[in-house]
Amino acid sequence: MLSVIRLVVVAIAAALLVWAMGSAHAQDAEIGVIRSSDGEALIIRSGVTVPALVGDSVMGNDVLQTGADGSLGIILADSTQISLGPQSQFHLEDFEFEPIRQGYSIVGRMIQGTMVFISGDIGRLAPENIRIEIPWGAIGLRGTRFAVSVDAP
Amino acid sequence: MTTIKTKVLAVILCFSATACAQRWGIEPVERLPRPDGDFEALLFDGYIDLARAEGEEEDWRDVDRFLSRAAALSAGDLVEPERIADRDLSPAAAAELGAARTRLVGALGRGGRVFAPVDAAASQTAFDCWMQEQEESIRQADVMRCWALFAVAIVQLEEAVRGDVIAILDETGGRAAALDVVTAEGTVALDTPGSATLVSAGTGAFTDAQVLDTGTIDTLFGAAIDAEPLPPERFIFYFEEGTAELTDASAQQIPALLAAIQARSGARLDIVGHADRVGPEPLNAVLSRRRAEQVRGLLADRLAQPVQSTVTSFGEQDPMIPTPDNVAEPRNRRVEITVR
Repeated sequence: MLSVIRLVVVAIAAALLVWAMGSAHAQDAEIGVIRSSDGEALIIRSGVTVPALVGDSVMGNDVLQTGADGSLGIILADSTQISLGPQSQFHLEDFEFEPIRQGYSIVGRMIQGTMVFISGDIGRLAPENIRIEIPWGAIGLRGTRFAVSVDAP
Repeated sequence: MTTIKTKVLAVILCFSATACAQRWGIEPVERLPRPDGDFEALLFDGYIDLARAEGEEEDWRDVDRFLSRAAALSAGDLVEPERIADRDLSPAAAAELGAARTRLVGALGRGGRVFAPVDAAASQTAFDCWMQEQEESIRQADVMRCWALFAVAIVQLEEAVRGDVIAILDETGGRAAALDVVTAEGTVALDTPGSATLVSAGTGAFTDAQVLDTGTIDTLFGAAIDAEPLPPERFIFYFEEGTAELTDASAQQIPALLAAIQARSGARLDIVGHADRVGPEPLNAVLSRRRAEQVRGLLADRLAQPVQSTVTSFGEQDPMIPTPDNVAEPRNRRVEITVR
């Protein structure tokens, strides 16, 4: 019994370590690319707002935002595709794709608006590590293409 | 399209009031199959009731309008709230009804028909009642009665659709999509294309999984669907044994790969090299790296502008076809290229 408990503790500690490394990694490296952009399409990065232009980088912890006439589509490093309709805001809180050490994670928060999510390699290899939070709940993935619509707060 | 057709038919039939009464008698329409959906069935009932009320006033033109709407619902057509231009209204009435119709169409478009069928049908029935009485404008009390019914129903409908909608879309790639939505009230599983739930704002209460029609999906998510990026393209190039030399068949794929890169402004490339298990493992690690670099190099030679790329290699560690050591396997001597 005791050994089982220790095993669990070790596993949790290891998971936390991986998570911390993944987060550190995600914030200073490109994790995806802007693939479509129309109207007012912006990235908020470390509190600074910049236009989201096709071909630009998406970085860890970016907030993607569109205005009344805007839309935006990105592809992450694992080939996950995310697109936003107008008046939308999506915070890509954590992303990790390190196949060599099997580090897989996508955590995002849909703050407002509409999004279509088409999962990529992480959805295939570790769908349980994908989590999209919505104002009154959370979406856990078991498959591939879905859409979310969130009212303005 | 079908709505217009039905309307034209009704207008032709209504040149003479007797023809209308014969073709669109209340009882024959009432005996038509009741539509399947909750919203459509309740709206069908609502139009029959409105037709009956107008029949008592011998307003055959409006009896026919309501019955033709009920018949269209029975036939499976989408029946939208009546259009402002279809009634002869004063500018002030047209403005007021126009604003009301915008609210109604908005709430129906947010999935009201599916997620709140009772409120949605009550709202549309009351709206069309109001339109008819407003045009008629014989008794102000009739106008006010329909207006009041609408005012109550639309508020309930708008409240019912306030929240977050999660839907599974058709999967072009062929794999089944499935997800769980977890809220303070529990978990709802969605696992078929078109299935959706509405999570209420403030409480986290959710509807059972419902199937959204394509029109509602388009209204809700059309702009985000249109913004979907060009999907990534994946290529696999194969190599001659023990070398970083492309097979002839793979060399012929180079133009297609270049086209995929040129189709994407600021394309990203992920180039991943592999080897089979012939020879020592460390040599295969080097060989798989050389193969990946070979692909990067030949692309660089052919592209006018540099392309951002990552190069990784797995030696013999990640075979497509697992084999014992020292077995030659052409399908494992490969470089996988993803264009994003």
